[in-house]
Amino acid sequence: MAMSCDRSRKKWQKVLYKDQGVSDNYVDESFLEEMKKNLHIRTYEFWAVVRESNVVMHQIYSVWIFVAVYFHMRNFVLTPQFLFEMSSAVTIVGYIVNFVILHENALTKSRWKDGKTMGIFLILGFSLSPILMTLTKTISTDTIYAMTFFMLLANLLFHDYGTDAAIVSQAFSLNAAIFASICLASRLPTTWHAFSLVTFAFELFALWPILRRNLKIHFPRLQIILSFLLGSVVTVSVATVSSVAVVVFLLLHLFITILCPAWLIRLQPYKNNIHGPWDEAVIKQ
Amino acid sequence: MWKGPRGSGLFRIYFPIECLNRPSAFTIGYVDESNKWAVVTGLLRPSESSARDPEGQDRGSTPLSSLIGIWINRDDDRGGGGEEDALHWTGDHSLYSSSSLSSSSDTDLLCLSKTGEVLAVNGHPDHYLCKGRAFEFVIILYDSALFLASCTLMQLMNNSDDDDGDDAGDRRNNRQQDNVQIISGSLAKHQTYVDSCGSEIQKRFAFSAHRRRKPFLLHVADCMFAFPEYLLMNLILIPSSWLSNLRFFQIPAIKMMIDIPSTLNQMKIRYGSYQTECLTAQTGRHCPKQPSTRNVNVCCLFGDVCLGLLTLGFLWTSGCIDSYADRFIVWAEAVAVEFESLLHWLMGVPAGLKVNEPLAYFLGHFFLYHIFLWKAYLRTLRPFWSDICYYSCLSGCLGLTVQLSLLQDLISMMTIHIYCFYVYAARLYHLQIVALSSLWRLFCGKKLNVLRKRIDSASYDIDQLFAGTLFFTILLFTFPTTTLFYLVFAVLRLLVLSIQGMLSTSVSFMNKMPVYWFFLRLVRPSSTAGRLNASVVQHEPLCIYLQLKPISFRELFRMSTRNAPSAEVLGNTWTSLGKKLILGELIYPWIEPSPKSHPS
Repeated sequence: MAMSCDRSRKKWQKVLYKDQGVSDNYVDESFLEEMKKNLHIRTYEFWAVVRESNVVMHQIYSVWIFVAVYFHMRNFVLTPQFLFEMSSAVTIVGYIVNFVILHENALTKSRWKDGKTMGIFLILGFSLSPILMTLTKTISTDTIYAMTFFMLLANLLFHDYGTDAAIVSQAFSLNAAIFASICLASRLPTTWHAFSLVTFAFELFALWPILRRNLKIHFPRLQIILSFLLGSVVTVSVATVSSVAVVVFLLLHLFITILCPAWLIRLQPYKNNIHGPWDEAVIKQ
Repeated sequence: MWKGPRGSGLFRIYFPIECLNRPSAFTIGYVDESNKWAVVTGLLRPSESSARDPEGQDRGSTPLSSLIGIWINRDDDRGGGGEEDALHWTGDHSLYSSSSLSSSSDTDLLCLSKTGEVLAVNGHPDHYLCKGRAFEFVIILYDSALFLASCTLMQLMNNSDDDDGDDAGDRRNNRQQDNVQIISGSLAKHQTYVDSCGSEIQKRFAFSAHRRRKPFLLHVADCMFAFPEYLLMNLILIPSSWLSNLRFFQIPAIKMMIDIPSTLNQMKIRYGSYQTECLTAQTGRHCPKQPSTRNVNVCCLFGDVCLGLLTLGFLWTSGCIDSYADRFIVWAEAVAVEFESLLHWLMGVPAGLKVNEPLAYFLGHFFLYHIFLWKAYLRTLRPFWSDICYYSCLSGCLGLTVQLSLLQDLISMMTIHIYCFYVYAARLYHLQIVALSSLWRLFCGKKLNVLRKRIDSASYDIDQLFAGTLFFTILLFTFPTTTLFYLVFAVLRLLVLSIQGMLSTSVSFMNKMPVYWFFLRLVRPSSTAGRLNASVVQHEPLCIYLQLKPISFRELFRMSTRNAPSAEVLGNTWTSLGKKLILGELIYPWIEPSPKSHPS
């Protein structure tokens, strides 16, 4: 009798190698004292979030530009030669800019590799364009547009925006974009149209993100200027195709740039992350 | 000498049903103590003179080691109770003091009486002590004449070994097998015993289950077949089997050339492998109950040749060859024209499906060119066709099977363009499927790890991604077109294969037709006895009559077609067919797949 009183007076310790007279899964009032809430919370500042959201907007600009170019080509406003020359010039300029930014010293190997990439791409694109042109002749336009839409959506979803989420798959997003471009290219009348559109798509979806990333690392302030520039280009080009599309675009822009950050900040107080000794151990290197 | 039934368990006593009416005598037979059975195969009358010359008895006769007991027929004038009878018999006769019996001290004798009393009687030569002992037994009556006459019994029992049935069937089969083996084994031993006995003992047999001479019918059959067999073997079969064993025909290329056309294959099966069968039949002393395999095969061959000659005669005399040949050629040309229209339909918008125009155009013209070649071939063949048909009927001399396989070959030659188209379309389809699956993995940014046989994520270069996506798109959009062409030609090919399959099934059926057995079954049913029927004659004591009935025709047929490999062994089930169709692998139902060797 005396012995048991003694035992209960002693404080229960959270160890199992002592026989404390209670079952193994016993917890006392000190349970949950070690719980910590919302340890790694970050406070967001509105305009900073708005500034960062332009990463997503840049990719959306690319998509809209591409679709606008397609419609312009279909309406014969844009000739394939002009598109090809323009995109080639811009690519060469961008390449030189990239080259300058990175201050690369070991030049020959990467230049040879880039030259090889370009060569393969041009040859393949040029030889397969006739096939690409007649690929979807018997499929209805609506099906093609639906497929293109889903493929570009996949491109946006799986794109690498600088985070390390599990959903990111760079190869898949690029492939989806090229698939979409081939779908649209097959709707165009001649081989030249198809070839120039596919070339333009490749440069826009494969090469431009590389330059963008490098620019962001070295000149962060340039992002806003770039956004304004591209935004106005998109607005102008889409407006000449259809006015409804412009409205949709502007609404989308507003949504992503203004509304989404506000929403994010509004939702911060509801955060309720629980941390405790039950978390998985993270080995610090 | 056996010590009598010891221990518990049912003791089986097999008794010939013919002995039930014989007078009392000593029983001859064989016993097995451990497996608890005893078979009575003969009845030996006691000798008249009491004092015998021991030497005379020993000379020229095997010791009466097969003496197992006494049969007591109550209708005999000397009679009494069971034990008294036994005592009477064992004490009275000097047979009892024969050399073999006196050597052992304690022997038991099985006393059977017609009333159903069975005793194991212990008799000692010196003391004439009789101690009857009852034990659990069952008497099984069997028809020794039928067992001896049947040629098919052992084969049937051996074949039921290979059957895999459910448990009840197995148990039943095992028990039947047990009974049959015991009885047949004892009868065989008895046969050798009787053959080696001296004539004095042979005269004393009241009943003996042995065959004096070969059944008359089998004898007649042997004589009948001797001369034609001689003719066949020396003139045709031995030279042809020598030919087929030549080194020349073992070359893989030549072997393939012979195996693929079914006519040559059939001839090889029929005439080429005869020599080995003859050899095996001659070297081993086959059981005297079995007809020689030579007879069986010669009979089958004769049936075949007769049917072939009949067909030949019918076709030649009725004169319908010309009209059929003409009609056939006209039909073949009409089929070619139909094919052309089918291809034009495929190149257009078939069934409202969205076909890729340039590809369909290209494929359609490719196949159209083949049809053009085919029509030219038919045109050159036309003048000679009816002559070819007429003289190919001559192959009926070699048998109806050869004619049927010739027909099969003709069909496959006439549909060779379908075969070609199917092969082209299947290869293209398979290639496209393999490429598509690999490029889809590239599309998702993954790669097949061949070593580990799993899908891993991979980092590709930009140009690799671009080229891969380009090809993937192209292949994806041309996939329905290829599938359509492949399906159409696969269906046609399967149609032709089913017709050929029916022909080859009938050929293999005729190869194994058991003409000889059917003949035997009709004329002398007792020689084809195989079905066992057990019926209870008397309950107290338990007496079962094991009847041997002639086997049904269906069972005979199944017996002779037992050796054909089943479809599962060949790997040609429906699921494998479906899988091959979907993947685009080629279907060869007549070539047996070689066993794959695993490199482990």
